[in-house]
Amino acid sequence: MPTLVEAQPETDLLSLQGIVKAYGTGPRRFVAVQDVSLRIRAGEFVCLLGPSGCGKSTLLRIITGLTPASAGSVLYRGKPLDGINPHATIVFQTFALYPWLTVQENVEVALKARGVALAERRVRAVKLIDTVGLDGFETAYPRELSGGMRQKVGFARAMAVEPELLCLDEPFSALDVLSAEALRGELLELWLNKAIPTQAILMVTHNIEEAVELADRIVIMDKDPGRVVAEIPWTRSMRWWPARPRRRRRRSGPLRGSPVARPSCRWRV
Amino acid sequence: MRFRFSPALPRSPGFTSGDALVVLGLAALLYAALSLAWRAPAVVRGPTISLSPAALPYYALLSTTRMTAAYVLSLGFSVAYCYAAALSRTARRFLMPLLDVLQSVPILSFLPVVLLGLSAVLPQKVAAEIAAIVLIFTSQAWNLTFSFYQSITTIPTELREAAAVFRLDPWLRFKTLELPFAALGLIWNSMMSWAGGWFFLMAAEIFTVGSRDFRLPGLGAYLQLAANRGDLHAVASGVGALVVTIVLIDQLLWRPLLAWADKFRLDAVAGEEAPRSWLHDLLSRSWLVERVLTRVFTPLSERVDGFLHRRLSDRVAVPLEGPVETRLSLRAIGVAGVAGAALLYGAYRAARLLATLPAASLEPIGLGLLATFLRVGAALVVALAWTLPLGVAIGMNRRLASLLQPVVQVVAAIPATALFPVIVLVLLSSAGGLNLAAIVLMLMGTQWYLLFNVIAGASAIPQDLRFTTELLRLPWLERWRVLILPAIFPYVVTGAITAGGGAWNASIVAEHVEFAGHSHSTIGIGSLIASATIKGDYPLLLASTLALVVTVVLINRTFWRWMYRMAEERYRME
Repeated sequence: MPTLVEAQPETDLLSLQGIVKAYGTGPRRFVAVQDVSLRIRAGEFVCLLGPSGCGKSTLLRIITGLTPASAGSVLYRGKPLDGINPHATIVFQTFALYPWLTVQENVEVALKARGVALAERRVRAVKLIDTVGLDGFETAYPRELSGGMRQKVGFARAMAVEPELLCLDEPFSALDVLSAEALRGELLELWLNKAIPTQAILMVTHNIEEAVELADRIVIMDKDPGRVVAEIPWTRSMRWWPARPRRRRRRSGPLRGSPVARPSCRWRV
Repeated sequence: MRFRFSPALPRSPGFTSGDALVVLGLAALLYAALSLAWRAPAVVRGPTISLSPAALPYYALLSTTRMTAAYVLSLGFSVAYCYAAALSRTARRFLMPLLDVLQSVPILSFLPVVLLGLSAVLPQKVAAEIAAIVLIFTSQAWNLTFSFYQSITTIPTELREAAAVFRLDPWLRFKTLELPFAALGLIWNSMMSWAGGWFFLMAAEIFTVGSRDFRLPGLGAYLQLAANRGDLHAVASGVGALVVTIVLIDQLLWRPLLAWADKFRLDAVAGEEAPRSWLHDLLSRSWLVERVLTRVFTPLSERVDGFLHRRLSDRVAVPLEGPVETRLSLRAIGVAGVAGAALLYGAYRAARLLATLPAASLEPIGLGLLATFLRVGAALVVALAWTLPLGVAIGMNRRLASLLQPVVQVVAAIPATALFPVIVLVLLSSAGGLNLAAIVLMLMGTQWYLLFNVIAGASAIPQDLRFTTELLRLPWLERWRVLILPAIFPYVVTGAITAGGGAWNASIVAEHVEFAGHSHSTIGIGSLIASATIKGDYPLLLASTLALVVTVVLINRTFWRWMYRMAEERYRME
């Protein structure tokens, strides 16, 4: 189990310095990520926005320790990352649920891998499934669920291990428009109400609206080679907007005209 | 249910240094076994076989036990082998080509050498048992290994990444990801392996050369004795017992396993019926099974998982990506050096032994190879001639398929070697004699591979292509030329490769038989191996066994490879 350290507001949760990722050697060398530096602080919702092939998913895999960087350093809470980052999890684009496990078993297996005992595992898994609004589906298999419901299982599994850093790899792009919209609202609700112990969220997307709707800060990447071309610090430029819960109105205000109703809160906590 | 085939044929490369290495290694191994064989007892007394029907359940149990032992060995071997190959790139570069050659080697040709070698150092009963199990093992292991390897290397990246991100330890990853992902392929290939295993088991149970009787008490020996005595009643009850055993194993083991493993399918294809099994239905409704699962199995597996988790939890593997250069460790170089030296020495001694062979004996080897080659060819042609029309008819007609399929499956499940003594009984006095009997055995052992593949190919012809052909009103001949033959070609090639391998194997038991107190032989490499074993002419035994291995590998690497590439490039349906 990751220990939940109360982070200072200005502490870097994660910092990348001069990250390079290249595949192959010689004339067949392909640079996926070229000299990227990035900081993620506790309390931030950061979006990596860019076209396909700009290395944003690769960057996510370097941050979680799935792929080693060819050069540069990855510091997590000031310490170099070695192997899989135990404080981070991923919500995958294609859900990555084990099709032969039920919804509950899929959530439980993440807890089991952390050595949680059977009885406690069951209680926590049921509670999480309830939190994402899937109660009654505990014994269903993923193939019996819709895309949106499957991704809810993905979220429940990710939240089960109470990560400090939650990485989202295009989590809504395999869903239909309506499910994606609903799930986004529910995620934001959880995050803004601090209903989950997550300290920071890093989302990879190629959907501009999605980034604008969710992020505190948007990092824009471009390809050939994959690199960061701009950072848009929403919070700073929108300083006049006060406390967090009202930022939603700001976002919907200038962009869409009139304030919209809060999305129905279906994720009970 | 559809016929499902994973032919487990890797895209075979041309000749590689691996081939040469394997042949050298086999020569060394053969030499090692033969150097023991000098001390093999000259007379080996076989077991006394009772023809009483009351002995049949016991014999069936003995045969099944041998099969089970070999199967458990094969399964363990394939998992271990695949892990070694998947974990280390150096190992993979070496292990996979090795497997590719090993699976095309006619295994039955090693039986005499292995039996002689083992009986020199072990009590003869034990030697014969071990030889039988080793033989079945070598017939089962390769396609299981290929299937498992193919599965664990094609697991979707995101599933592997999820396993890593959620910190599944190696055991939990094996249990929740790798084994379930490979389960279906493993079960289907186990069924095929098991069917092939019966063929070799029966061959091993009836193996006799000269004054050495290596028979084992079992269904095969029972059938052979019954045929020897001309006791048709006993032959019938023996065949009956064999069929009952095979059907029971199918109903009590494979069908329930298939029904249970249906949840491991990645994609649920609409319209395809899930496999059903009455036993599985019965068990999954049973209160007792449920209690045992929750009260005994779950706590036990929790214990095991917890125990392993405490030992392995720090070994969360990062999924492999792109080519990483691995450096050879000093230990690996050392081991490889010692193994290489042993191999070279063995090969050198084998070559010395071969050099003592008079040049005159090369002629019978060449002649024998040619004769057996012609028989294999004849068996393949006959098999093709009847399986093509019937297979296409079954494959393209659902009603015919549901009618004939159960019959075909039961008939195909009877190992041809079990019936061989009966064939000999019938055909020995005919004009063709043993020559004809040998071809019939090859045919019976191999035609099913072809039939099943033709059915699979014909049922995979896309519906719209068939409609188009109908609309064009193509005449019968044109329809075969334009649509059917090209469509089933890859399947026929796959089936024929397996069938050809089986036919070469069959030559070992088919060309020399001891029947009713007399020995009969016909010209061929199989009978040459048998007569060399009888005479104790070990240079000749080594030479003819090696010649057979090299010939079959050569044919696979040239002719079948050419056919296979043609099938891949020109006739593949995408």
